[in-house]
Amino acid sequence: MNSTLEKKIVVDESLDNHFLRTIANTPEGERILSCLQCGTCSATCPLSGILEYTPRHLFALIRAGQKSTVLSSNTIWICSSCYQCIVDCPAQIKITDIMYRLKRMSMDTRLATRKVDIRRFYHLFEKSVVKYGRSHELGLITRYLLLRHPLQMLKQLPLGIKMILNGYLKIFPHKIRDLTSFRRMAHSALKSKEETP
Amino acid sequence: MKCLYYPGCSQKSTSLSYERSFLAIARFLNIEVEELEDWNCCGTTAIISLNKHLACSVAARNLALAESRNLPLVTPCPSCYISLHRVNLIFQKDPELAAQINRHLGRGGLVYMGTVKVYHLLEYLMKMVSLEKIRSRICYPLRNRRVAPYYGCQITRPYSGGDDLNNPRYLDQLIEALGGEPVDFALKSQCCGGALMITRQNVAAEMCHKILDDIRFAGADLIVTPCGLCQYNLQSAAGRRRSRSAPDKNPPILNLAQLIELTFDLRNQDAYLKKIHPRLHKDKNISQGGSHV
Repeated sequence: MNSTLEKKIVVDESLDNHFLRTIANTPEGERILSCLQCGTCSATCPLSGILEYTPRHLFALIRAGQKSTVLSSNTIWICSSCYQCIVDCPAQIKITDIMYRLKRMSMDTRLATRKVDIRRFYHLFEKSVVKYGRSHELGLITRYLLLRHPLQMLKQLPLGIKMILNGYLKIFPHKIRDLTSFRRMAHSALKSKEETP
Repeated sequence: MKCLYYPGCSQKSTSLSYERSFLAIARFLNIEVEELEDWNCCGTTAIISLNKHLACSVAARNLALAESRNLPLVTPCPSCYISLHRVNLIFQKDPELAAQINRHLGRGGLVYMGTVKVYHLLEYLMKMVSLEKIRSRICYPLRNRRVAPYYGCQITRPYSGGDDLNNPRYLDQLIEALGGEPVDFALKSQCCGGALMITRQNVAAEMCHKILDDIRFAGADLIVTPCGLCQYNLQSAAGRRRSRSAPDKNPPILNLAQLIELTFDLRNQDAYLKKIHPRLHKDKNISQGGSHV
Protein backbone atom coordinates (compact mmCIF):
# COMPACT_ATOMS: atom_id res chain seq x y z
CA MET A 1 0.00 0.00 0.00
CA ASN A 2 2.75 2.31 1.03
CA SER A 3 4.80 1.66 -2.09
CA THR A 4 1.81 2.30 -4.40
CA LEU A 5 1.30 5.64 -2.73
CA GLU A 6 4.95 6.54 -3.07
CA LYS A 7 4.93 5.67 -6.75
CA LYS A 8 1.91 7.83 -7.32
CA ILE A 9 3.58 10.84 -5.78
CA VAL A 10 6.69 10.38 -7.91
CA VAL A 11 4.60 10.19 -11.07
CA ASP A 12 2.66 13.28 -10.05
CA GLU A 13 5.85 15.20 -9.47
CA SER A 14 7.15 14.40 -12.91
CA LEU A 15 3.99 15.66 -14.58
CA ASP A 16 4.11 18.87 -16.52
CA ASN A 17 0.57 20.13 -16.83
CA HIS A 18 1.61 22.74 -19.37
CA PHE A 19 3.33 20.29 -21.69
CA LEU A 20 0.41 20.05 -24.12
CA ARG A 21 0.09 23.85 -24.12
CA THR A 22 3.82 24.22 -24.73
CA ILE A 23 3.69 21.96 -27.78
CA ALA A 24 0.48 23.60 -29.03
CA ASN A 25 2.19 26.98 -28.97
CA THR A 26 5.03 25.96 -31.26
CA PRO A 27 4.64 26.51 -35.01
CA GLU A 28 4.85 22.72 -35.50
CA GLY A 29 2.23 21.83 -32.92
CA GLU A 30 -0.47 24.32 -33.81
CA ARG A 31 -3.07 21.62 -34.48
CA ILE A 32 -2.21 19.19 -31.71
CA LEU A 33 -5.28 20.17 -29.66
CA SER A 34 -7.52 18.73 -32.37
CA CYS A 35 -6.05 15.22 -31.98
CA LEU A 36 -8.95 12.72 -31.96
CA GLN A 37 -6.88 9.83 -30.63
CA CYS A 38 -8.18 7.87 -33.61
CA GLY A 39 -4.93 5.92 -34.07
CA THR A 40 -4.56 6.46 -37.82
CA CYS A 41 -0.98 7.59 -37.24
CA SER A 42 -0.09 4.41 -35.37
CA ALA A 43 -1.74 2.24 -38.00
CA THR A 44 0.04 3.95 -40.84
CA CYS A 45 3.50 4.24 -39.26
CA PRO A 46 5.88 1.71 -40.88
CA LEU A 47 7.88 1.57 -37.63
CA SER A 48 5.06 1.13 -35.10
CA GLY A 49 6.28 -2.38 -34.34
CA ILE A 50 9.54 -1.25 -32.76
CA LEU A 51 8.41 1.98 -31.11
CA GLU A 52 8.20 2.23 -27.34
CA TYR A 53 5.03 4.26 -27.78
CA THR A 54 3.24 4.45 -31.11
CA PRO A 55 2.39 7.99 -32.24
CA ARG A 56 -1.16 7.82 -30.87
CA HIS A 57 0.13 6.65 -27.50
CA LEU A 58 2.77 9.40 -27.53
CA PHE A 59 0.10 12.03 -28.11
CA ALA A 60 -1.95 10.63 -25.25
CA LEU A 61 1.13 10.92 -23.03
CA ILE A 62 1.64 14.52 -24.12
CA ARG A 63 -1.94 15.27 -23.13
CA ALA A 64 -1.41 13.59 -19.78
CA GLY A 65 1.59 15.86 -19.17
CA GLN A 66 4.06 12.97 -19.07
CA LYS A 67 6.86 15.14 -20.32
CA SER A 68 9.83 13.05 -19.23
CA THR A 69 8.28 9.80 -20.51
CA VAL A 70 7.70 11.41 -23.90
CA LEU A 71 11.09 13.07 -24.21
CA SER A 72 13.03 10.00 -23.10
CA SER A 73 11.15 7.54 -25.34
CA ASN A 74 12.79 5.92 -28.35
CA THR A 75 9.78 6.82 -30.52
CA ILE A 76 10.95 10.31 -31.37
CA TRP A 77 14.39 9.12 -32.49
CA ILE A 78 13.32 6.04 -34.43
CA CYS A 79 10.88 8.08 -36.55
CA SER A 80 12.37 7.96 -40.05
CA SER A 81 10.56 11.15 -41.15
CA CYS A 82 8.58 9.49 -43.92
CA TYR A 83 5.64 11.89 -43.37
CA GLN A 84 3.02 9.16 -43.96
CA CYS A 85 1.22 10.10 -40.72
CA ILE A 86 0.91 13.74 -41.81
CA VAL A 87 -0.75 12.68 -45.06
CA ASP A 88 -3.20 10.39 -43.27
CA CYS A 89 -4.00 12.36 -40.10
CA PRO A 90 -7.67 13.41 -40.25
CA ALA A 91 -6.91 16.36 -37.95
CA GLN A 92 -4.01 17.52 -40.16
CA ILE A 93 -1.53 17.46 -37.31
CA LYS A 94 2.04 17.86 -38.51
CA ILE A 95 3.19 14.78 -36.63
CA THR A 96 6.63 14.47 -38.25
CA ASP A 97 7.42 18.11 -37.54
CA ILE A 98 6.30 17.64 -33.93
CA MET A 99 8.68 14.65 -33.73
CA TYR A 100 11.53 16.94 -34.84
CA ARG A 101 10.49 19.42 -32.19
CA LEU A 102 10.39 16.72 -29.49
CA LYS A 103 13.84 15.53 -30.51
CA ARG A 104 15.20 19.04 -30.06
CA MET A 105 13.38 19.43 -26.74
CA SER A 106 14.76 16.12 -25.50
CA MET A 107 18.28 17.35 -26.27
CA ASP A 108 17.70 20.70 -24.56
CA THR A 109 16.26 19.10 -21.43
CA ARG A 110 18.93 16.36 -21.44
CA LEU A 111 16.18 13.75 -21.31
CA ALA A 112 17.12 12.06 -24.59
CA THR A 113 17.36 8.31 -24.18
CA ARG A 114 20.80 6.74 -24.22
CA LYS A 115 19.43 3.48 -25.54
CA VAL A 116 19.06 4.81 -29.07
CA ASP A 117 22.27 6.04 -30.64
CA ILE A 118 20.65 7.64 -33.67
CA ARG A 119 21.26 11.07 -32.23
CA ARG A 120 24.98 10.32 -32.14
CA PHE A 121 24.82 9.73 -35.86
CA TYR A 122 22.99 13.03 -36.28
CA HIS A 123 25.64 14.80 -34.20
CA LEU A 124 28.42 13.38 -36.35
CA PHE A 125 26.48 14.46 -39.42
CA GLU A 126 26.10 17.99 -38.06
CA LYS A 127 29.80 18.15 -37.24
CA SER A 128 30.73 17.02 -40.73
CA VAL A 129 28.51 19.65 -42.33
CA VAL A 130 29.75 22.48 -40.13
CA LYS A 131 33.35 21.44 -40.82
CA TYR A 132 33.23 20.99 -44.59
CA GLY A 133 29.94 22.52 -45.73
CA ARG A 134 28.86 19.13 -47.06
CA SER A 135 28.47 15.74 -45.48
CA HIS A 136 31.36 13.37 -46.03
CA GLU A 137 29.65 10.01 -46.17
CA LEU A 138 32.67 7.75 -45.84
CA GLY A 139 34.10 9.61 -42.84
CA LEU A 140 30.69 9.83 -41.24
CA ILE A 141 29.77 6.17 -41.63
CA THR A 142 33.24 4.95 -40.63
CA ARG A 143 33.30 7.08 -37.52
CA TYR A 144 29.78 6.12 -36.49
CA LEU A 145 30.12 2.39 -37.12
CA LEU A 146 33.58 2.16 -35.55
CA LEU A 147 32.35 3.85 -32.40
CA ARG A 148 28.94 2.26 -32.12
CA HIS A 149 28.72 -0.94 -34.19
CA PRO A 150 32.24 -2.26 -34.89
CA LEU A 151 30.89 -5.68 -35.89
CA GLN A 152 28.62 -4.19 -38.52
CA MET A 153 31.60 -2.18 -39.74
CA LEU A 154 33.47 -5.41 -40.39
CA LYS A 155 30.51 -6.85 -42.28
CA GLN A 156 30.20 -3.73 -44.43
CA LEU A 157 33.89 -3.57 -45.26
CA PRO A 158 33.83 -5.50 -48.58
CA LEU A 159 30.91 -3.42 -49.89
CA GLY A 160 32.63 -0.23 -48.70
CA ILE A 161 35.87 -1.05 -50.48
CA LYS A 162 33.97 -1.88 -53.66
CA MET A 163 32.15 1.44 -53.46
CA ILE A 164 35.37 3.36 -52.89
CA LEU A 165 37.00 1.69 -55.91
CA ASN A 166 34.01 2.56 -58.09
CA GLY A 167 33.98 6.16 -56.93
CA TYR A 168 30.73 5.86 -54.99
CA LEU A 169 32.41 6.81 -51.73
CA LYS A 170 35.02 9.54 -51.68
CA ILE A 171 38.04 9.06 -49.44
CA PHE A 172 38.61 12.79 -48.94
CA PRO A 173 35.85 15.21 -47.96
CA HIS A 174 34.86 17.95 -50.35
CA LYS A 175 35.16 21.37 -48.80
CA ILE A 176 33.00 24.16 -50.12
CA ARG A 177 34.87 27.19 -51.48
CA ASP A 178 33.57 29.87 -49.15
CA LEU A 179 33.99 27.88 -45.97
CA THR A 180 34.85 30.86 -43.79
CA SER A 181 31.59 32.69 -44.27
CA PHE A 182 29.68 29.40 -44.19
CA ARG A 183 31.10 28.64 -40.76
CA ARG A 184 30.35 32.16 -39.55
CA MET A 185 26.72 31.58 -40.56
CA ALA A 186 26.65 28.11 -38.99
CA HIS A 187 28.09 29.28 -35.67
CA SER A 188 25.63 32.16 -35.51
CA ALA A 189 22.79 29.64 -36.06
CA LEU A 190 24.22 27.19 -33.55
CA LYS A 191 24.34 29.86 -30.86
CA SER A 192 20.74 30.97 -31.18
CA LYS A 193 18.15 28.79 -29.49
CA GLU A 194 14.67 28.54 -30.88
CA GLU A 195 12.25 29.98 -28.41
CA THR A 196 10.21 27.65 -26.24
CA PRO A 197 6.79 29.11 -25.55
CA MET B 1 15.54 25.55 -71.57
CA LYS B 2 17.82 26.07 -68.62
CA CYS B 3 17.79 24.98 -65.01
CA LEU B 4 19.93 25.41 -61.95
CA TYR B 5 21.05 22.07 -60.56
CA TYR B 6 21.32 21.37 -56.84
CA PRO B 7 22.90 17.91 -56.58
CA GLY B 8 22.95 17.31 -52.85
CA CYS B 9 25.81 15.47 -51.17
CA SER B 10 24.76 11.94 -52.09
CA GLN B 11 24.63 12.70 -55.83
CA LYS B 12 28.37 13.15 -55.63
CA SER B 13 28.98 9.88 -53.84
CA THR B 14 26.55 7.01 -53.22
CA SER B 15 24.12 8.16 -55.93
CA LEU B 16 26.77 9.03 -58.50
CA SER B 17 24.96 6.99 -61.15
CA TYR B 18 21.87 9.14 -60.64
CA GLU B 19 23.82 12.29 -61.40
CA ARG B 20 25.50 10.78 -64.47
CA SER B 21 22.19 9.69 -65.93
CA PHE B 22 20.51 12.96 -65.06
CA LEU B 23 23.18 14.94 -66.92
CA ALA B 24 22.90 12.52 -69.85
CA ILE B 25 19.13 12.81 -70.21
CA ALA B 26 19.35 16.58 -69.82
CA ARG B 27 21.62 16.66 -72.89
CA PHE B 28 19.09 14.57 -74.85
CA LEU B 29 16.27 16.87 -73.80
CA ASN B 30 18.22 20.03 -74.62
CA ILE B 31 18.11 21.24 -71.04
CA GLU B 32 21.07 23.36 -70.14
CA VAL B 33 22.14 22.34 -66.64
CA GLU B 34 24.07 24.79 -64.52
CA GLU B 35 25.32 23.41 -61.22
CA LEU B 36 24.71 25.80 -58.35
CA GLU B 37 28.02 27.47 -57.55
CA ASP B 38 29.50 26.52 -54.16
CA TRP B 39 26.37 24.75 -52.86
CA ASN B 40 26.39 23.14 -49.42
CA CYS B 41 24.55 20.32 -47.63
CA CYS B 42 20.78 20.85 -47.27
CA GLY B 43 20.79 19.63 -43.66
CA THR B 44 18.39 16.74 -44.35
CA THR B 45 16.58 14.97 -41.51
CA ALA B 46 19.68 14.92 -39.31
CA ILE B 47 20.23 18.60 -38.59
CA ILE B 48 16.59 19.57 -38.17
CA SER B 49 16.46 16.93 -35.43
CA LEU B 50 19.12 18.84 -33.50
CA ASN B 51 18.87 22.52 -34.35
CA LYS B 52 16.17 24.21 -36.38
CA HIS B 53 18.12 27.42 -36.92
CA LEU B 54 21.12 25.59 -38.30
CA ALA B 55 18.97 23.32 -40.48
CA CYS B 56 17.08 26.25 -42.00
CA SER B 57 20.21 28.37 -42.43
CA VAL B 58 22.25 25.77 -44.30
CA ALA B 59 19.30 25.07 -46.59
CA ALA B 60 18.60 28.78 -47.04
CA ARG B 61 22.21 29.48 -48.00
CA ASN B 62 21.70 27.41 -51.15
CA LEU B 63 18.51 29.28 -51.98
CA ALA B 64 20.24 32.60 -51.37
CA LEU B 65 23.02 31.59 -53.77
CA ALA B 66 20.43 30.49 -56.34
CA GLU B 67 18.28 33.60 -56.10
CA SER B 68 20.39 35.89 -58.26
CA ARG B 69 20.45 33.34 -61.10
CA ASN B 70 16.69 33.59 -61.47
CA LEU B 71 16.27 30.02 -62.70
CA PRO B 72 14.22 27.07 -61.43
CA LEU B 73 16.26 25.06 -58.94
CA VAL B 74 16.11 21.32 -59.65
CA THR B 75 17.26 18.56 -57.32
CA PRO B 76 17.05 14.81 -57.86
CA CYS B 77 17.11 14.13 -54.10
CA PRO B 78 13.70 14.06 -52.34
CA SER B 79 15.27 14.84 -48.98
CA CYS B 80 17.07 17.91 -50.34
CA TYR B 81 13.83 18.91 -52.02
CA ILE B 82 11.94 18.82 -48.72
CA SER B 83 14.67 20.69 -46.84
CA LEU B 84 14.80 23.49 -49.40
CA HIS B 85 11.04 23.61 -49.79
CA ARG B 86 10.59 23.86 -46.02
CA VAL B 87 12.62 27.08 -46.00
CA ASN B 88 10.42 28.51 -48.75
CA LEU B 89 7.34 27.69 -46.65
CA ILE B 90 8.89 29.44 -43.64
CA PHE B 91 9.54 32.51 -45.76
CA GLN B 92 5.88 32.49 -46.78
CA LYS B 93 4.33 31.81 -43.40
CA ASP B 94 6.71 32.67 -40.58
CA PRO B 95 8.31 36.09 -41.16
CA GLU B 96 9.81 36.07 -37.68
CA LEU B 97 11.83 32.92 -38.21
CA ALA B 98 12.61 34.06 -41.75
CA ALA B 99 14.16 37.23 -40.34
CA GLN B 100 16.27 35.18 -37.94
CA ILE B 101 17.44 32.94 -40.79
CA ASN B 102 18.40 36.04 -42.72
CA ARG B 103 20.35 37.27 -39.71
CA HIS B 104 22.42 34.07 -39.79
CA LEU B 105 22.80 34.30 -43.57
CA GLY B 106 23.92 37.90 -43.13
CA ARG B 107 26.85 36.73 -41.01
CA GLY B 108 28.04 34.96 -44.14
CA GLY B 109 27.27 37.96 -46.34
CA LEU B 110 24.09 36.59 -47.91
CA VAL B 111 20.39 37.37 -47.90
CA TYR B 112 17.37 35.40 -49.10
CA MET B 113 14.10 36.94 -50.23
CA GLY B 114 12.10 33.73 -50.68
CA THR B 115 11.68 33.78 -54.45
CA VAL B 116 13.46 30.62 -55.67
CA LYS B 117 11.15 27.97 -57.13
CA VAL B 118 12.39 24.51 -56.09
CA TYR B 119 11.53 21.41 -58.10
CA HIS B 120 12.21 17.78 -57.56
CA LEU B 121 13.48 16.25 -60.81
CA LEU B 122 10.30 14.19 -61.26
CA GLU B 123 8.08 17.23 -60.81
CA TYR B 124 10.32 19.24 -63.14
CA LEU B 125 10.10 16.60 -65.86
CA MET B 126 6.31 16.38 -65.54
CA LYS B 127 5.53 20.09 -65.31
CA MET B 128 8.29 21.97 -67.10
CA VAL B 129 9.70 19.49 -69.62
CA SER B 130 6.43 17.63 -70.41
CA LEU B 131 5.85 14.01 -71.36
CA GLU B 132 5.53 14.94 -75.05
CA LYS B 133 9.08 16.17 -75.18
CA ILE B 134 10.35 13.07 -73.38
CA ARG B 135 8.35 10.87 -75.75
CA SER B 136 9.88 12.59 -78.75
CA ARG B 137 13.38 11.56 -77.66
CA ILE B 138 12.66 7.88 -77.10
CA CYS B 139 14.58 5.61 -79.44
CA TYR B 140 14.21 2.33 -77.59
CA PRO B 141 10.86 2.18 -75.81
CA LEU B 142 10.43 -0.22 -72.91
CA ARG B 143 8.07 -2.40 -74.99
CA ASN B 144 5.59 -3.57 -72.40
CA ARG B 145 8.19 -4.17 -69.75
CA ARG B 146 6.41 -4.28 -66.43
CA VAL B 147 7.89 -1.52 -64.33
CA ALA B 148 7.15 -1.02 -60.64
CA PRO B 149 7.01 2.68 -59.73
CA TYR B 150 8.45 2.86 -56.22
CA TYR B 151 7.91 6.47 -55.18
CA GLY B 152 9.53 6.20 -51.79
CA CYS B 153 8.24 8.40 -49.07
CA GLN B 154 9.37 11.97 -49.07
CA ILE B 155 8.38 13.24 -52.49
CA THR B 156 4.83 12.01 -52.26
CA ARG B 157 4.22 13.62 -48.91
CA PRO B 158 2.69 16.90 -47.77
CA TYR B 159 5.14 19.05 -49.68
CA SER B 160 4.88 17.12 -52.94
CA GLY B 161 4.68 19.36 -55.95
CA GLY B 162 1.24 18.75 -57.36
CA ASP B 163 1.04 14.96 -57.37
CA ASP B 164 -1.73 13.10 -55.54
CA LEU B 165 -0.64 12.49 -51.94
CA ASN B 166 -2.54 9.26 -51.42
CA ASN B 167 -2.19 7.79 -54.87
CA PRO B 168 0.78 9.35 -56.65
CA ARG B 169 0.62 9.13 -60.44
CA TYR B 170 3.64 10.97 -61.90
CA LEU B 171 5.93 7.93 -62.15
CA ASP B 172 3.14 5.77 -63.54
CA GLN B 173 2.49 8.32 -66.27
CA LEU B 174 6.18 8.56 -67.03
CA ILE B 175 6.56 4.78 -67.31
CA GLU B 176 3.61 4.70 -69.71
CA ALA B 177 5.18 7.43 -71.80
CA LEU B 178 8.41 5.43 -71.98
CA GLY B 179 6.47 2.48 -73.38
CA GLY B 180 6.43 0.38 -70.24
CA GLU B 181 3.56 -0.98 -68.25
CA PRO B 182 3.30 0.47 -64.74
CA VAL B 183 2.67 -2.21 -62.13
CA ASP B 184 0.36 -1.38 -59.28
CA PHE B 185 1.48 -2.48 -55.83
CA ALA B 186 0.39 -1.56 -52.34
CA LEU B 187 3.65 -0.30 -50.85
CA LYS B 188 4.60 2.08 -53.64
CA SER B 189 5.02 5.02 -51.30
CA GLN B 190 6.06 3.12 -48.17
CA CYS B 191 9.23 4.27 -46.41
CA CYS B 192 12.41 2.26 -47.15
CA GLY B 193 13.88 3.13 -43.77
CA GLY B 194 16.09 5.98 -44.95
CA ALA B 195 19.05 6.59 -42.68
CA LEU B 196 17.99 3.68 -40.47
CA MET B 197 19.99 1.58 -42.98
CA ILE B 198 23.03 2.85 -41.09
CA THR B 199 21.73 3.22 -37.54
CA ARG B 200 19.31 0.26 -37.39
CA GLN B 201 20.31 -1.91 -40.28
CA ASN B 202 18.08 -4.91 -39.55
CA VAL B 203 15.02 -2.73 -39.22
CA ALA B 204 15.64 -0.91 -42.50
CA ALA B 205 16.50 -4.11 -44.35
CA GLU B 206 13.24 -5.65 -43.18
CA MET B 207 11.32 -2.60 -44.41
CA CYS B 208 13.02 -2.91 -47.80
CA HIS B 209 12.30 -6.62 -48.02
CA LYS B 210 8.62 -5.97 -47.43
CA ILE B 211 8.61 -3.58 -50.37
CA LEU B 212 10.63 -5.93 -52.59
CA ASP B 213 8.33 -8.85 -51.73
CA ASP B 214 5.32 -6.76 -52.65
CA ILE B 215 6.90 -5.79 -55.97
CA ARG B 216 7.84 -9.38 -56.81
CA PHE B 217 4.33 -10.48 -55.95
CA ALA B 218 2.96 -7.88 -58.36
CA GLY B 219 5.22 -9.34 -61.05
CA ALA B 220 7.51 -6.55 -62.16
CA ASP B 221 10.55 -6.78 -64.46
CA LEU B 222 12.10 -3.52 -63.33
CA ILE B 223 11.84 -1.22 -60.34
CA VAL B 224 12.22 2.53 -60.70
CA THR B 225 12.53 5.07 -57.91
CA PRO B 226 12.97 8.86 -57.93
CA CYS B 227 15.17 8.71 -54.80
CA GLY B 228 18.87 7.84 -54.69
CA LEU B 229 18.73 6.67 -51.09
CA CYS B 230 15.75 4.38 -51.79
CA GLN B 231 17.68 2.90 -54.69
CA TYR B 232 20.72 2.29 -52.52
CA ASN B 233 18.69 0.82 -49.65
CA LEU B 234 16.64 -1.48 -51.87
CA GLN B 235 19.75 -2.61 -53.70
CA SER B 236 21.65 -3.42 -50.57
CA ALA B 237 18.65 -5.21 -49.03
CA ALA B 238 18.15 -7.16 -52.26
CA GLY B 239 21.84 -8.05 -52.23
CA ARG B 240 21.58 -9.40 -48.72
CA ARG B 241 18.76 -11.77 -49.55
CA ARG B 242 20.26 -12.80 -52.86
CA SER B 243 23.39 -14.02 -51.19
CA ARG B 244 21.38 -16.05 -48.69
CA SER B 245 18.67 -17.97 -50.49
CA ALA B 246 17.16 -16.85 -53.73
CA PRO B 247 19.63 -15.68 -56.36
CA ASP B 248 18.53 -13.16 -58.97
CA LYS B 249 14.99 -13.08 -57.78
CA ASN B 250 14.73 -9.34 -57.41
CA PRO B 251 14.20 -7.23 -60.51
CA PRO B 252 16.89 -4.62 -61.23
CA ILE B 253 16.41 -1.35 -59.34
CA LEU B 254 16.93 1.79 -61.39
CA ASN B 255 16.61 5.41 -60.52
CA LEU B 256 14.38 7.74 -62.47
CA ALA B 257 17.13 9.14 -64.68
CA GLN B 258 18.55 5.71 -65.48
CA LEU B 259 15.16 4.47 -66.66
CA ILE B 260 14.73 7.43 -68.99
CA GLU B 261 18.29 7.10 -70.25
CA LEU B 262 17.60 3.45 -71.07
CA THR B 263 15.00 4.49 -73.60
CA PHE B 264 17.16 7.27 -75.07
CA ASP B 265 20.47 5.56 -75.59
CA LEU B 266 21.22 1.96 -76.54
CA ARG B 267 24.90 1.98 -75.70
CA ASN B 268 24.15 2.93 -72.15
CA GLN B 269 21.32 0.46 -72.01
CA ASP B 270 23.64 -2.46 -72.57
CA ALA B 271 26.21 -1.20 -70.15
CA TYR B 272 23.67 -0.56 -67.42
CA LEU B 273 21.91 -3.84 -67.56
CA LYS B 274 25.11 -5.77 -67.73
CA LYS B 275 26.34 -3.98 -64.66
CA ILE B 276 23.12 -3.96 -62.71
CA HIS B 277 21.85 -7.38 -63.61
CA PRO B 278 24.08 -9.77 -65.57
CA ARG B 279 21.30 -12.26 -66.23
CA LEU B 280 18.89 -9.74 -67.64
CA HIS B 281 21.50 -8.68 -70.14
CA LYS B 282 21.40 -12.11 -71.78
CA ASP B 283 17.66 -11.90 -72.00
CA LYS B 284 17.55 -9.31 -74.74
CA ASN B 285 13.89 -8.57 -74.32
CA ILE B 286 14.40 -5.28 -72.58
CA SER B 287 13.67 -3.18 -75.63
CA GLN B 288 13.18 -5.88 -78.21
CA GLY B 289 13.79 -4.43 -81.62
CA GLY B 290 13.50 -0.86 -80.48
CA SER B 291 12.91 1.37 -83.45
CA HIS B 292 14.15 4.87 -84.03
CA VAL B 293 11.33 7.34 -83.76
